Amino acid sequence: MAAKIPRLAIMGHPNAGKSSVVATLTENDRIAIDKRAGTTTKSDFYPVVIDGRKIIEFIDTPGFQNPNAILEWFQANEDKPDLARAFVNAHKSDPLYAHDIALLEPVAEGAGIILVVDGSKRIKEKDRVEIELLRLTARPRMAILNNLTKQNRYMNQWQDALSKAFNSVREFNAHRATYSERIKLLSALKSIDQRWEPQVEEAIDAFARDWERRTDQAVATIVDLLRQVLTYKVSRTVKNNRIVFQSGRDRVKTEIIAEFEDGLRKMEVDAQEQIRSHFRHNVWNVPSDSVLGQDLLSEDVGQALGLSRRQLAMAGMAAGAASGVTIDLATAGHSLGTGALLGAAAGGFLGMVGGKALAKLNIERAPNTHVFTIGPVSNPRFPFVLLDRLVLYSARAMNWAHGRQAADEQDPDKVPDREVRRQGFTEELTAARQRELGRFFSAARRGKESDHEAECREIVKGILRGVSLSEIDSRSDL
Amino acid sequence: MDPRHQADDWSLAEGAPAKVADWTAADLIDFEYYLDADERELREKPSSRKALAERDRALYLERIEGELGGEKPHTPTHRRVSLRHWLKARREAEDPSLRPLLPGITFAHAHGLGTWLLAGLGFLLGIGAASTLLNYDGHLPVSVPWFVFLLVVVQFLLVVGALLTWARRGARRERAAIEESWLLSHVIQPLFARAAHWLQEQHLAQATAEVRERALATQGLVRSQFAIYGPLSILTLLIPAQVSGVAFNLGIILTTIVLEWFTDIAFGWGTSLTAHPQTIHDLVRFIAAPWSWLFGEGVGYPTLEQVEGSRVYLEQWASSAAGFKPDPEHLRSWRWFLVLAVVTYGLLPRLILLGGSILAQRLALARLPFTHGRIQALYARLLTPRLDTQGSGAGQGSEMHIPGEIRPKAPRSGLVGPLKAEHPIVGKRPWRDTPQVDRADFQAEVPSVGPATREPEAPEADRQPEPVTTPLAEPTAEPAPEPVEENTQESTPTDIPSAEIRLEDIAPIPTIPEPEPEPEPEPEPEVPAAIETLVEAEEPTEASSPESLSEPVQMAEVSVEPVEPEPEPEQFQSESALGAETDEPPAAIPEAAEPEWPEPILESRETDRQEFEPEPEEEPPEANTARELVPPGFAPTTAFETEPTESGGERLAVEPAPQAPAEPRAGAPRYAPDACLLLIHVDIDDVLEPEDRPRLEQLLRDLSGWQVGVQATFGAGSSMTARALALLEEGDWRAPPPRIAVIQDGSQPPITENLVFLRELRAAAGTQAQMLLALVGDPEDDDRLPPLRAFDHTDWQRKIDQMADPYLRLDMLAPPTEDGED
Repeated sequence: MAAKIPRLAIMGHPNAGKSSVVATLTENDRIAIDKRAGTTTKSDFYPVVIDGRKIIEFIDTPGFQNPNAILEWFQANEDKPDLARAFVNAHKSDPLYAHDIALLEPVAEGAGIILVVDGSKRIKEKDRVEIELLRLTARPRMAILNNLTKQNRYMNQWQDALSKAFNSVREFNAHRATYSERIKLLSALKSIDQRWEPQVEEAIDAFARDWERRTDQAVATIVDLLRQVLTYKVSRTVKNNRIVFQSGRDRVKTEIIAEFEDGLRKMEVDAQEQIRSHFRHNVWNVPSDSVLGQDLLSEDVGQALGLSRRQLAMAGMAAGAASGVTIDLATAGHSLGTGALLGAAAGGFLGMVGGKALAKLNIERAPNTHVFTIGPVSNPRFPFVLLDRLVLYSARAMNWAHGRQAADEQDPDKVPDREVRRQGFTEELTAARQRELGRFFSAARRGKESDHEAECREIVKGILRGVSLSEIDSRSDL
Repeated sequence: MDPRHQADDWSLAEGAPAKVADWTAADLIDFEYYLDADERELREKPSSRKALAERDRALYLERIEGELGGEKPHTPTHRRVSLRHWLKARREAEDPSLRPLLPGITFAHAHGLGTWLLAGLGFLLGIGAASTLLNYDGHLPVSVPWFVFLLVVVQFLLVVGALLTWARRGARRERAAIEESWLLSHVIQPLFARAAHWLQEQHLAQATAEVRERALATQGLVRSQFAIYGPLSILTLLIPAQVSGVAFNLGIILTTIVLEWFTDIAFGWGTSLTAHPQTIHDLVRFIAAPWSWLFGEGVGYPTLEQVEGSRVYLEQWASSAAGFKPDPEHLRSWRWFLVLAVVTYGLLPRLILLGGSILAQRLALARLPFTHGRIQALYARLLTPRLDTQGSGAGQGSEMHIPGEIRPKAPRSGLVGPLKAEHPIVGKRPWRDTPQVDRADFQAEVPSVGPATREPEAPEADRQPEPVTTPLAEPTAEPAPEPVEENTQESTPTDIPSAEIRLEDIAPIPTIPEPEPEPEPEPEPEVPAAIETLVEAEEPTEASSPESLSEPVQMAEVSVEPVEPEPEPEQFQSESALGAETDEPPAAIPEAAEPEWPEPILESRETDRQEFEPEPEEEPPEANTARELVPPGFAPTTAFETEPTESGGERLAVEPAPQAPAEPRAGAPRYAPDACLLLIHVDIDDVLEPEDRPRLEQLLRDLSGWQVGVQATFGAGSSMTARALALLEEGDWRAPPPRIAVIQDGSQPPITENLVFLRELRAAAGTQAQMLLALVGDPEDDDRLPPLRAFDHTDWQRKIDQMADPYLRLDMLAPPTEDGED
């Protein structure tokens, strides 16, 4: 192992949120985090490995168990050159200090220190003790004010107290930190020990590129899904004798419609799953009160997302009415001669999106059989709704801190997710971009490759990038 | 395998790594094939994304980066070369039995084979055409015009046509190229497809089922991908066509030459038109212009005379077959003209076209930007560092340590946790000790009172130290008296009240009624005063100087807890006490630090003790010991003095059981039967306002029925703990098992340190002492003693349960509210 890599021990007292910070910083939601104190019982190493080389190592430590004793020991032995090492050596075998040894050991080995304190609480005696004893270790050190609540009144006190003993003090909400905040925190590591600059920069660069790649992947997933959905069809061949009666016919219709809708839902779920894995979430799941938790084809979702009626009309016109709906509906029933076409009637059964049928149902008669075919989606609003949903999902995944698992979501004091307008992402795009999307959708519907796809990718990517840099609101309450 | 494979470009590539950056059409096909395979895998198994990223990044680092020679990423060269190396690495990783079946390599085979076939075909055609046209049966001379028209003019026009097409396409740069060259799209391309198919079949016949299936699956790809690189694919097909043309011409030329060498051929020309030989000659000369400078008239082309002579008049031939004797030389004179014409107008243009095609193909390959979508993804995978942050987190360490019981009489020198040091450690806490450690505490604790008292004290403090230190070394007597005197002077008035207080104090009751939360500090000063008085009295009585010293200290402590001073039951008025307090400060001053018990202790310990080291062991500096003791035996009364010394000595040495000493001492803080020792964590104490104290006591009474006998803080270091323990040990418990109430901040999870403290209390108080651990929530502005959240409570409960201390009770100080947060 390279001896020179920056190693950073995340310290603090039990339940200060050390593991959350590590989890969020390293995007590792497999780190055990619990509301209860003492979840971490030994020093765990979380290296940032780039191409097989360790660049930086974060060490998640258990909390201080005997800060007063350590401080007093330090003060009594102030003449020793390396207090942390001396303390570790002196108390190695004492079970009373097991945790303290575990957390001081990395420091004894030269690790830098990141002290995590809960900025929402007032400064307590043991905080002062910890600050002081960490100061005595004389290692490069930085403090993180992990304030998970909107309680800000102690922050200044903390800043004052901490900046006396630490090279750098940063606020960081381990439950809300977004990509850009993480990068900022990492950048701050450079300032606590200049020698670490190259490695830290390399790590930041790697994180940034990794993020870029993931964004690209998410875009690809989204565009693929749109294309897939817009060409999706279900058809079924039914023997004539099954549909002699109206009831049989209706049953077949209901079944095939259900199949079609389930297919759409499944495609969306698969895409979400992919996006989730792009952003390294193993545990996280969408809260059920979100628009994302509702059925894709429900009226609420249709209302909340997608374009407004007017925007839709514009986009639709640009795409050429050929995108289907109008013409198809107008000619329905005539164009297919023998087929009994139930386009209009089918609307009654299908999920309605924005007041229009999702897709058409065709019934074609063949000798002895009827072929029921449904799809592809012809509703002009639907792709926009779907796109919005996926972007929303991605935004959530991108901005969901990995250390948030144990967050007390009921806590009345928690930092509120920002206020947002109830509006989809696509609705905010310029008309030109909406038209571009509309063109892509219509091309996709006809199964054509088109130049609009590249354009569409760019648009989606722009949105995602904006979301991750907090330039575009991530609509976290939708 | 079969020898053809040796020639494929893949093996060439291996042989000539320097050239590896050159893409060939076959490479592109394989490249697309791999891209497609990766993409398909991703589509079917999104989870494989990570594996792919790792694979590609590893390839890049191990195989590619070194070959790039420091080229900057994202430049076209970098992209070309790294992708080419990637392809090479992928091919090498391919199953050897499948490698020859890769579509690109298959294509290369097919291409090579097709080219050869076309070349052969052209050659044969050339031979056939030439030998047909040159067929001389001895009657009619071979027709020069036919030969020239078919093999030269037509060919030349074809070439010109091809060039025009090219030029046009080059000008328009549009596609539709395929449509334009019907020959290519309808003849050559299918031909290749067939050839490729046939070749693959040949291989597949011997391949296993699995390989076969996979190979077949790739077949469609060959065709579908062919369209992507439009112009390139056309060029790729044009080249064999040119090769074939070249071969055709070679066939003609060789055949002509051979026939001319080995047979005697008569060439002639004829026409039904009226054509003057001169015209023909001019024409010939024109045609021969390109080579006339090398092979002149008569060699490179016939002379006018020869032209004339080789004219064929059919009627001549018919009529005078025998008589007519044309000059044979004239008839042969055309031979080189024909050969040279074919070379010039057939072979050369074809060669130029071939060269041009090859060149154009090179250029097209060189111009490929390698930027389309799928390649972007791959390129990003190559360049993006592989980032792994999964740590070794799984392991489990030991749970938080639950400290074992501490033997009651075990020597305990370090007081926060079982430190091994021989003496209580001096804790420097700049944030607490500003002027003097203890005072800081005090102030914090009792803000209102603090400041007043302190100021006076500060000076005192200074004084005191001096006396103290000096006394230590010197006979204590001196210093002692001094303080006393001072005290007396100043405090006299106060003393009285203090005495009163004490009386009251005895029964905690007084304090309670009195508001007076802050009384504690206040009383202290008084106490000292009292003490002083006492001291004075004592001093005389007591011979031992150290004691006297100790006394003040003790007194100070006592004073701290207003209640304690039971000894003199004179007046019960708390008020007086209060008043006294205020006054006292001055009184205290003389005694300096001591007035407030905590301070003195600390100071002495910190400053002096280090030197003296507590442990008194009866050294002369007993004074010191005394001091230390002091805390324990804060009993201010004269009685104590004696006792303290004794007990102190003992203690120091043996650390006698607290109770024992306490009882004997009349002057020790006396705890009424329903009074308890109240220990408040500094975190809580720091935020308590004066008006909170009564409420605290009320809450405590509700919870346990106890009155507050003596009150102290803990949690900020050994000295504070020592003081608390001293209060406990020196106390005079009216109803023996001591009662201890500990107020802790429950919003912080329990840590070992907290439990150690409880253990120490237990050790000092005896196994059956009643201990109550009352938890308080995180203080708020309007409520400094809020109820604890149920969640935090269970957290504590769990740890306390593990301590298995039957006489320790855990509870919330304030009952949970209805609207409990949890």
